[in-house]
Amino acid sequence: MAKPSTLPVYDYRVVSSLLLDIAALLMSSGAHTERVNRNVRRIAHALGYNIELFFSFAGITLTLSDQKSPHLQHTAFRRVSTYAVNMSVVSAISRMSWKVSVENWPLESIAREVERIRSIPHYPRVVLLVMITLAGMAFCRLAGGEIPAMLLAGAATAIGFTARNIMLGSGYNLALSIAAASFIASAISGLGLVFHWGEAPEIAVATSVLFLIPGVPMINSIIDLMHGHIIVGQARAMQGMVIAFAIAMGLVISSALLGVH
Amino acid sequence: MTWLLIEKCVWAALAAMGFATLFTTPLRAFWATALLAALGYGLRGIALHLGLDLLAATLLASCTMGLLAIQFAHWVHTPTTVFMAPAVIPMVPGVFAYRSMMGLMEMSQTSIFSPELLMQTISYGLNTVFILLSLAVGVTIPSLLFKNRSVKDIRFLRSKKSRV
Repeated sequence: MAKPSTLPVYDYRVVSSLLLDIAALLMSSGAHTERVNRNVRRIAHALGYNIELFFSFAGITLTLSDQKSPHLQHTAFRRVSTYAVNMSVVSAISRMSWKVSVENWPLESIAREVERIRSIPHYPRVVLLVMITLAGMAFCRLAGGEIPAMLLAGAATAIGFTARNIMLGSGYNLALSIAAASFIASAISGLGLVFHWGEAPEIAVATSVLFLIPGVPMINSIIDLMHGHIIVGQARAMQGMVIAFAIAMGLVISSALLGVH
Repeated sequence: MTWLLIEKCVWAALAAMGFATLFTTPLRAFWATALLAALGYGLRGIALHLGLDLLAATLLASCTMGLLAIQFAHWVHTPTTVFMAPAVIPMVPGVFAYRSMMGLMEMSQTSIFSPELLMQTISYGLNTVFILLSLAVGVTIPSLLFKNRSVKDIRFLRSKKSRV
């Protein structure tokens, strides 16, 4: 990597704030910890700084030093408050980090690009609903369900997903929203068990709550543990388990109410 | 057998694309998600047919997906997890998880010792956990096998010019 001999000098606070912005954005969008570490380090080196990062689930600590004067250090902490998966953000920051290190971007362009990436939207609600419903039907088919079970699982998934969105949108607790969505979805698909629709109605119940599974926390947890980020890995595993238990709670309550075992 | 497997591969691809929408995977990576999900599911089906047990078949499928993902990452210009995370979701053992939990509930409500119920519940539960672990290992393979270098430095196919 060819670096110009004179890099512009920036205020430590501005640089560390920007780097922490990037790190927190990546963490909350569902990147694993080693990816955050690598991307932020790459950008920092391109700007001419050395960094040390400390990760925990609740926030990130960064210590910044100039490559020319390593004894002058500046430490800052940034909280990571929400975890909402957005892989477009992860992908865009990864691409940006390579461009920054190859094309030697100035600080201002990086800040502008981060603001653009921050505003990348999720897919529209309607598209999401249709795709998740299809996914619910697909899960049911994969587990061996016939057409009545698939339709039931699709309907339960659509209504449960809408319930989850409404509850999360109005600010309810994550575990409570998931438990409620799981309860609603499994109560609807449980009707098949009560009235004996189709061959194996229990498949519809088991697959109608699958849209809630904490896929990204669980995968990231294993990746983090394997890379040695033990604390974040454990926290992610716990988060995944909390969500899994919330799903189980909804299922248990609905099956108790419907009287099916 | 063959037709059923091909049909299931299509459903697996659909389920993976549903989750790709949920995770806001960029549109340009959707084909990679769908293709990997279908390939992985098909490979697992073939391995099961040839007599491998479910766990080994899942591990084989997810690791193959992980290796293919390294090349796919160059074509769609995203990190591997962006399309790998939704692609392994169709193989998540939802019915096993459901049965193990229902078994636990049944155990909590009965006073008669039933070794069949106990063993079945434990077996479903352990299978759920181990299958999830083997899926995660497959997703991790790209960064683990190559000593933690960035996937960008690994090339299986020679390309004419290097792109950012």
